[in-house]
Amino acid sequence: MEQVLFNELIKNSAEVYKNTSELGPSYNEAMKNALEKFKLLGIPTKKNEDWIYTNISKNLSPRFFARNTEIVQDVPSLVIDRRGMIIFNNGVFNRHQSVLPDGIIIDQQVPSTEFFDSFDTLNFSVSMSPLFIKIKKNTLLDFPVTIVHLVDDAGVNKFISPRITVTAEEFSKVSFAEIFTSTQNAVFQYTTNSSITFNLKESSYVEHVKIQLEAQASTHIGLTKANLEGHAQFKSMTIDLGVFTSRHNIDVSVNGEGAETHVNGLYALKKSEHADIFSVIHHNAAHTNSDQLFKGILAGESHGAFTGKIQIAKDAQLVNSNQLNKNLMLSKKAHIDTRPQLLVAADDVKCAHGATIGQLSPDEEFYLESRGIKKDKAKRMLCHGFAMDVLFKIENLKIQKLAIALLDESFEKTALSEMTL
Amino acid sequence: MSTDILNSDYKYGFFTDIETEAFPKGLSEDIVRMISAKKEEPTWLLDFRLKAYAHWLKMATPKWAHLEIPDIDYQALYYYSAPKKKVDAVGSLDEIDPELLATFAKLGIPLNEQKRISGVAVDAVFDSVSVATTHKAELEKVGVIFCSISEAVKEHPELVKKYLGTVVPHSDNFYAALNAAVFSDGSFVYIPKGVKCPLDLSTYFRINAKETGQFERTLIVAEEGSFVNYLEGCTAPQRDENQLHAAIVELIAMDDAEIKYSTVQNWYAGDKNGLGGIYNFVTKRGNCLGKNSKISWTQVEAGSAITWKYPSCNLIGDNSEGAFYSVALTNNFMQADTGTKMVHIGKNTKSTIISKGISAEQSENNYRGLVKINPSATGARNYSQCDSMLIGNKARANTFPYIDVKNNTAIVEHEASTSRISEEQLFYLQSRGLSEEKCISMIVNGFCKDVFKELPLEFAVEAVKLIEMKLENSIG
Repeated sequence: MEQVLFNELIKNSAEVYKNTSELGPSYNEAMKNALEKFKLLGIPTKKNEDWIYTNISKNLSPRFFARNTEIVQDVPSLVIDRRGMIIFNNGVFNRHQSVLPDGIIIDQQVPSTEFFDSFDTLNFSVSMSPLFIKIKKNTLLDFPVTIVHLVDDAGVNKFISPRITVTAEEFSKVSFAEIFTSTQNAVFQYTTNSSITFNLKESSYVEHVKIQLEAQASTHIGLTKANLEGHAQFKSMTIDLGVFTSRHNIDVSVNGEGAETHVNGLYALKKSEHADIFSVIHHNAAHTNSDQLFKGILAGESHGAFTGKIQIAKDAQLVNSNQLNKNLMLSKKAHIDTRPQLLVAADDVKCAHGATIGQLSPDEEFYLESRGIKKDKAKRMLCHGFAMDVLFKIENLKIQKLAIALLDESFEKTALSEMTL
Repeated sequence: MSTDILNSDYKYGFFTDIETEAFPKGLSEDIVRMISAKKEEPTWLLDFRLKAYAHWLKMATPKWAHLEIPDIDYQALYYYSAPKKKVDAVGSLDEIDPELLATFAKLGIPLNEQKRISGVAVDAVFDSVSVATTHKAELEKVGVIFCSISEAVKEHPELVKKYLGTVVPHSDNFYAALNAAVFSDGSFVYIPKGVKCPLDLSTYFRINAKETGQFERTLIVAEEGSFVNYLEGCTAPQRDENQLHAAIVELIAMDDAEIKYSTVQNWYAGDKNGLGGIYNFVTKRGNCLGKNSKISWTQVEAGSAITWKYPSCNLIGDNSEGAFYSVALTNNFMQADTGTKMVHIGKNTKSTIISKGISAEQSENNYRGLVKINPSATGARNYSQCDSMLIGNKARANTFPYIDVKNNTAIVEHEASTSRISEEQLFYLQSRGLSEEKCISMIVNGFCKDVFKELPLEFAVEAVKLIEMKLENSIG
């Protein structure tokens, strides 16, 4: 299965290279080198320790989206503020529709040579219009920048490969909301393999809220990567509202003294949806902090998986790192795997991780019901409350409002019978 | 007759010069047949061994653990080594091996404690064979069978045949398959229905001969409503080469039965430069078969160059309970990858995991555990706590818990932390006039208290001394 798909993809990559000439010869060369690397790495199977909970090749699309033309669509309704929006159509940057606010400019394209995993390698090797932006020094934006990845009928059954690199210069502060969706979520099927990298210079601040709202039958693979210099702050939030299979890789390297990262997430799954969160935080410098909270709500026959690695390098003393994964199982057939890991090689550190799995408390349900609230409503209220704990960690209030609205909408759509099956 | 090699921190590093009988080096079907023939085993057991051997040939060494295991040449080991007959005919503990008693003295356990210990029934396993089992008569009165497994094969074949390999099948893992093919001895315990074993039972393992591997197999069956407290201790001489220890322990608890299994593992861990030491690759598992049955594993892992050990419980009977209490201490270049597996199958099953890892100098200490709640385990409950303590800035401590839940009525909690001895604690104790070394030892003992309190008294005393001895000179 994997082999057939793999061969198909390799063959199809030639289509992509017909349309990448404007990236320049050296960039093209790097893409082809990366493809060679991907050929060696292959598509990961469950035998790979990092992928033991997810059979990713079950539903991958066999061809890449290879047209480099822009499509004229209406501005997606999910854009929070039209003063700052970055639109990708089928993984291709739409430069006509996108609006970059003052202080954010298009940056020089620099090819990558090091990759997180085989999908990151693949993403680089076939991403036709990688976007490089720079947030200029001292830029403070009081409105969020929305990144929308919109797939339309041209992207159906294709591999969508958007790639974004953001460099935040000193003393800048920007919040991003990155939303993955399609024009017809109920019908489409495709594969997204996205990659976003943030390079935070000294004392910069970036908030990134990723919302996975893809078409239901799709596969989503996404990498969020961040490199932090001294005193930088990176806030990441990954919200997964359920899709056929999703995998979120989060890779944060805290490289400078005084830097701090908050990596949070929420997955709310139903039916037979599958979400796998794989987060790695590297503390490579002393006096760094990290804090993680991931919460899961599992209904129907859904399967959630969480892997959280905290790696503390030798001599990275006085690190403070916390991680918590909490899961709410609503139905008998739901399934959760959680794997928090601590790898510590410095002695003067404070690290803690915790994981809990439980169900709605009958006492709480009874309390609400005794106040005349219907069982269905009571359950939803309790789930809402459970999720809010994480969503309140989104610092930008406009993004927070959108996230809460999308979550509630997803709850509304699910019948109680589907939730508690 | 013993010779202390060099001035050693490891106080059991002596080698006892006893005449031994050994088979040729290497492993082949012939060796498996020879071991079986030597022990005058029935055909079913030989078949079991051969099946395991055939399976082992097809297997590869497991690589998933966070360990650096040098390649082991399985053909360069002696698979059978036994003291010549003359040592074999001992009747009581006093006659066995003065060294054995001397080791207790070396640990500094007070004399009255020693007297208490002499009230413990001991099965001593020396290299490949069990040399003596004490207090047999007393145990027979209540119907408890406690003997070496070779003896059990002869005297109680029906029991051994019924249970051997039911908890850890011969195909379970690489080291288990190897053990099943060449296991030489071990202990067998059978507690009949309703019997609370009047004595604590104990096995004492000693690797003595050079270039041998020790492969013992312990099988404990507790019938309905019975109770047994079982202790295990191990030491080995100090040598520059590595020696392999691949044991299997199988526990079976029927309705309302309880087995408490405690280990103080102190195999030779290699010298300051990481040379030599025992590879301790052990498969330990218990089946809580009956309703309301209980199995608890308590371990103090203070030795071995490399430890690969996951005492586990399969909670099959409804309301059954599993527990795992562990202290793992590593120093110098020791590596440990240890933890537990709790598999919840029956309804309302409960498990508790308390693991304390202490890692000093250049050592690496990993906790790896699995809590699995199957769809059938309605109302399952687990609580896990894994704490690591680092001493010195070259030590590493890692935690790899796996939680896999397939039933929504389960409640699973996991907590882990990594820290070091705080300056405040040290200052407080030092300001009361204690030396830094003593302070560290006190703090470490406090850190491990939750586990030590689960140990039987004499083991708890031994464990405390052992940790103190190990931590000497390892101030961060």
